Amino acid sequence: MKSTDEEAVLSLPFLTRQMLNLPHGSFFDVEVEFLANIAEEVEIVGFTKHEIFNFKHTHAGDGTVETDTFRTSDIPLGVSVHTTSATVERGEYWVALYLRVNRERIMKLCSGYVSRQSSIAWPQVQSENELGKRGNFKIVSVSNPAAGADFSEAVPTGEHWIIQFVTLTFATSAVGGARNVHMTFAPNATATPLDHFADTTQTQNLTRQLNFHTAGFTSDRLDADQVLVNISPKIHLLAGGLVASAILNIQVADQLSDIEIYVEQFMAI
Amino acid sequence: MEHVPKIKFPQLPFITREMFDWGAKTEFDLEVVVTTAQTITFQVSGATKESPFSYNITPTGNIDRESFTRRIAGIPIFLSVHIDNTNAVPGQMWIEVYLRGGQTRLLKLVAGYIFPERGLSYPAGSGSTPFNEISPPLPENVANPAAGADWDVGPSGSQLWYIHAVSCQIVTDANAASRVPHLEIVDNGGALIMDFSSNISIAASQTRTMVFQPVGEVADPDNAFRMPVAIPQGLIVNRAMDLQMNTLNIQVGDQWSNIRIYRASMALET
Repeated sequence: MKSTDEEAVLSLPFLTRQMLNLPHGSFFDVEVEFLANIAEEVEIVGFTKHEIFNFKHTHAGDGTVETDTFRTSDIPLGVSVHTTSATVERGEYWVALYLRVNRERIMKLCSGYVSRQSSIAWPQVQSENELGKRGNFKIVSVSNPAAGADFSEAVPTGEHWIIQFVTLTFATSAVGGARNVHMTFAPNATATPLDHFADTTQTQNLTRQLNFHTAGFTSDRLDADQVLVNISPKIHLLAGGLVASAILNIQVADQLSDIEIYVEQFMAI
Repeated sequence: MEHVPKIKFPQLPFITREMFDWGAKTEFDLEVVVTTAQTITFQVSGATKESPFSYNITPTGNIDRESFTRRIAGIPIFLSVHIDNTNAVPGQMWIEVYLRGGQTRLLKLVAGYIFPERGLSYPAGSGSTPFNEISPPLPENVANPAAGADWDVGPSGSQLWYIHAVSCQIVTDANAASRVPHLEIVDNGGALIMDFSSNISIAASQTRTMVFQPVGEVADPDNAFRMPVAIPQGLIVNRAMDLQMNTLNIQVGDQWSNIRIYRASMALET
């Protein structure tokens, strides 16, 4: 015969440990994976039959995966992950939650990008993203390389870029030579890159802006100092991928500057 | 004699405060967070076991992210966020609702955009809309600059723009010059991010309409008064950027007018 307490528990519309025949001493915890390139705190909040819980985790912001576990008194009935930091942009902080029993994952609860505007929750609720499934649109400003040198910018650890534009200024020295600016995109330093280049050369003593974009059209050069170059749409680069110039016939005093890469950024392990 | 258990709480198909060890002394609230530039009242309504509730909430419209807390008698069984005012434009009122217990967030209930065609609900409903986009393209009208000057415009603090097209008209003065309009994207510091320029120049005493659009190919300008220029499809301009016109060889009496930015706009926090 069941006791009164057991009968009461069995009448609940949710799951508790008392309803299960788990081995004596079994315990529950929530395992959380964090992947971020920003050092900010997120909160994991929720409740069981016995308690309200509130855990916190601050990522190092280095693009690596961090894992933390939080002991709960029973099976969580609701759990959310949010941040109160206004500096976290959507696409920068990925979180995944798992329910564990005796250190074994038994269920993935939820996962997704967390920002102050977007949080994740279990059970599933009507939880949309302010930009659909788009990432973080950001401008990556690249330091000027030395005179006579190309630039190369690597995708940081943990990041995934979709290239939108690249723009730069190229000033040529007095040394004669028909330079041609190539823009390359490579998955790593050894792979053969995608190569996009201008259909015009640049001689000495000229300063031009080169715009690499996905408009699919290159206008006549009424303004000779503005060069438009089409690049492939949706160039994806993972960590270690390279955006680099490869200027044909570059001369020792030629100078690249004002290099800006506009990307849609996600996180990836 | 058959055993009749003493039930502490009724066999309900939903949760109530009596079911939790911590529930009896806990006060429950709804935390409603609004991100919008619009001052339009919306409703948050629903029911707990104890009572229905309905709150009208009016954001100030000039605050990027604003929170409202409303006390409820227990744990909500149903909740809905909706708006009837047709001035609520898609993509412009972003709402989040959290359940708080003992002044701590317990659970996210809903999050999303609201406008008359759609609301938010807990438990989750289908939430479908008559169209797929977060926000359909709507024109942003830009004030005419002074004669001889170019123009610039950008998303306000809590917006992101998805550019569909840009159109604008220039009337050139009698000064002889070959003007070349450039549509530029610059960051908030003025650094150039991208430049789109036309393939014909504009001489003196002309009236031309420029249309920047993701056509992929630009026809010969048989109609020289309308000048298409290709821009990428899905061009995103965020709050760190501006769109600006930079007209090469602009003359003192040249006048830009009828400037329209056809863009979807999404409410983002700063």
